[in-house]
Amino acid sequence: MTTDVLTERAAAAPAAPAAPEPPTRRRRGRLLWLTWRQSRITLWAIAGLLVLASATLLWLHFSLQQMVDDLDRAGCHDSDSWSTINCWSLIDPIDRRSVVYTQWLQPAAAAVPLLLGMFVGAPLLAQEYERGTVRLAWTQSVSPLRWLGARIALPGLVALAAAGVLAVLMTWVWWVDIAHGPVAFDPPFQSFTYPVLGVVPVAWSLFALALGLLVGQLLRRTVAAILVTGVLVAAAHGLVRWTRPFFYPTVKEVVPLNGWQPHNAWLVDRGPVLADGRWVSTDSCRGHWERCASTTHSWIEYHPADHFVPIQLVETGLLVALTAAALALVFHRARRDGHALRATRRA
Amino acid sequence: MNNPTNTPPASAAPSIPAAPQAPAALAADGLGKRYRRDWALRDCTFAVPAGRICGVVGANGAGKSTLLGIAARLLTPTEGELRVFGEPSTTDDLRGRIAYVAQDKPLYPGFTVAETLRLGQELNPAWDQDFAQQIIDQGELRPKAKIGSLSGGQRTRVTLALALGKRPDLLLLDEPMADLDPLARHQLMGTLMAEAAERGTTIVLSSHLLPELDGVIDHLLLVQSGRVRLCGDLEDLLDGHQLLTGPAGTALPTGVLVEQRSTGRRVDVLVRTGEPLDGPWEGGRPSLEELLLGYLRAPLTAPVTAGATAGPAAQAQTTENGIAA
Repeated sequence: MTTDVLTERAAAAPAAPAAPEPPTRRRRGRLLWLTWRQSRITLWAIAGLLVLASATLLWLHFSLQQMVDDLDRAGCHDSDSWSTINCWSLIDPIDRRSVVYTQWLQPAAAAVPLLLGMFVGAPLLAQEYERGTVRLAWTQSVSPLRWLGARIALPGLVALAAAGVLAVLMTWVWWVDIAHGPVAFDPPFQSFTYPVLGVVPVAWSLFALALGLLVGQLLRRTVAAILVTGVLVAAAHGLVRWTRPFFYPTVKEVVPLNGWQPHNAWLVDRGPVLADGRWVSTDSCRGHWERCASTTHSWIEYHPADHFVPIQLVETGLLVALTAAALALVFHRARRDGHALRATRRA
Repeated sequence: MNNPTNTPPASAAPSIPAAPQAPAALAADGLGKRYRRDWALRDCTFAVPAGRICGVVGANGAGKSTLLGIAARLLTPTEGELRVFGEPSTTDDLRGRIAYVAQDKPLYPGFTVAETLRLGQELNPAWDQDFAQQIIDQGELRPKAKIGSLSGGQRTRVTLALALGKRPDLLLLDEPMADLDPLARHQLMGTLMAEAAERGTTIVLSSHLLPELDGVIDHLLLVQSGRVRLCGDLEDLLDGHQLLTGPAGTALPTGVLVEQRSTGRRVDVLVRTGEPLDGPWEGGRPSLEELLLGYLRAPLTAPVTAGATAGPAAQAQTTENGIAA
């Protein structure tokens, strides 16, 4: 052997391996280092955005509280007094702050699940497969399933926790300052309001993350996985929005011809009630106006405001089930091993 | 040494076959792997005794990587079985005993060299930091250098450090030396051979650079079109073949011809027998490269495993599914 070969070391230090430490606890803790090292940029980004969003929401809340106090002190208690110049000058900034919430923060928060799926879920496994590093990880002394669990768990749980904190703050500000504020009208079922309130945003984040993982594992191409995940999450959101009225039984009522659904309720459908008492759709009157001319009442089908929680729970259950299915598939495919080398050149 | 299971180091006594009771480092029985429609590997039956440095040779696409991938448990065989140190290759305890270097040397590009070694340390209970660090130092790599900024040869060095630091009993290397410069190749080959000699580590390395295997391997596995064509102790295989030159048209005993090439009035033949042939033949024992080229040039006829069970005088024999052990 030549001198630059590492022989002398082995001779000088006969390896005296200490009794191996209990493997399970040790390895689990150690996988945490790897997954932290790999996802630390993502985690810092999530933390930074969460701090930014939380600060904005807190600022919004406390400045609105201050303004509402000023409004009360000025004697502008109800909308009758608001026509005075004095009250109007106090209302205007409240209005502008509320618009920040409804026009900017709500759409941004509604996009959070999509962004988490695209930029946290999709690249996570796609990149490992694309670079072949999954074979590096799987040929260490830990089992692929344990590696996968750790690899997913840290960024996944942190993203979910962040989504949860954001949902709590968004719901709180909406409830205290918007729904019960003096000016803003923002019914809970409105398009950008519903998906950022309550438990549904967390469920969507969970689902988008799992879907991103699965798509990344299937496609093994980071860019493609990001795009496909984005399309799929958006499509799923559209589908759920379309079927959402059927998540819970609606309330059907007959109201006078120009009557409306109760405050904050979600009108699903309405139509005229014919003279013989039949409920028909508005479309059926088209071209047969004489048939509908004599109606004095309308029927309405709606979800009252208190259906908000049951509908959210049904939607959450659905999404959690889909998440479980996607994760089961991811783990099943990882256990089946045999696809790590397939995408690569064989010689 | 922390590995009591292996047979005596290969380089100390390269021609002594492994004791029969010691489980082979790798033992395949009817091993096959199919990718969708086509078979990458079929009917492979062979054994690599522990403590050997085994060269897996074959053309591109012959199934070398598939074979190593199965041994590294990255691939599940479609049929047959592979036993590693006598245990089915799916046994969980084997994880810590096998190290694998993939052909494309995957590493995390954002990690530094030091972080890559840390990965090895965190994920392998038997990690030997000093040993891994020495292999890195030998290549004069900065610990803070990002993997993404390294050259191909430097990446290979880091990958090998990661594999060797694991202190495996079986080291699987898929085309390990292809992008190394001659000095680094010499250093790392020396390190590998020292590792095999001192710890009895079994090394299985695939290569299509035939010259780099000469003087390194003491066991040979020739894979052709997904089938094992030759397997056995290298010396036995070489002794069991002759590279001969004779006049064209000279008859050969049936069943011994591996490959023949006509050069005008004379013909060069590679024959599978160590016995002298009748007739005007000249020549003798082939070199490793001549043997391999002869087989690689010859079309594959039937799955052939040349037995190498006995001493150097035994001739390699053609069997349907004989195991060389």
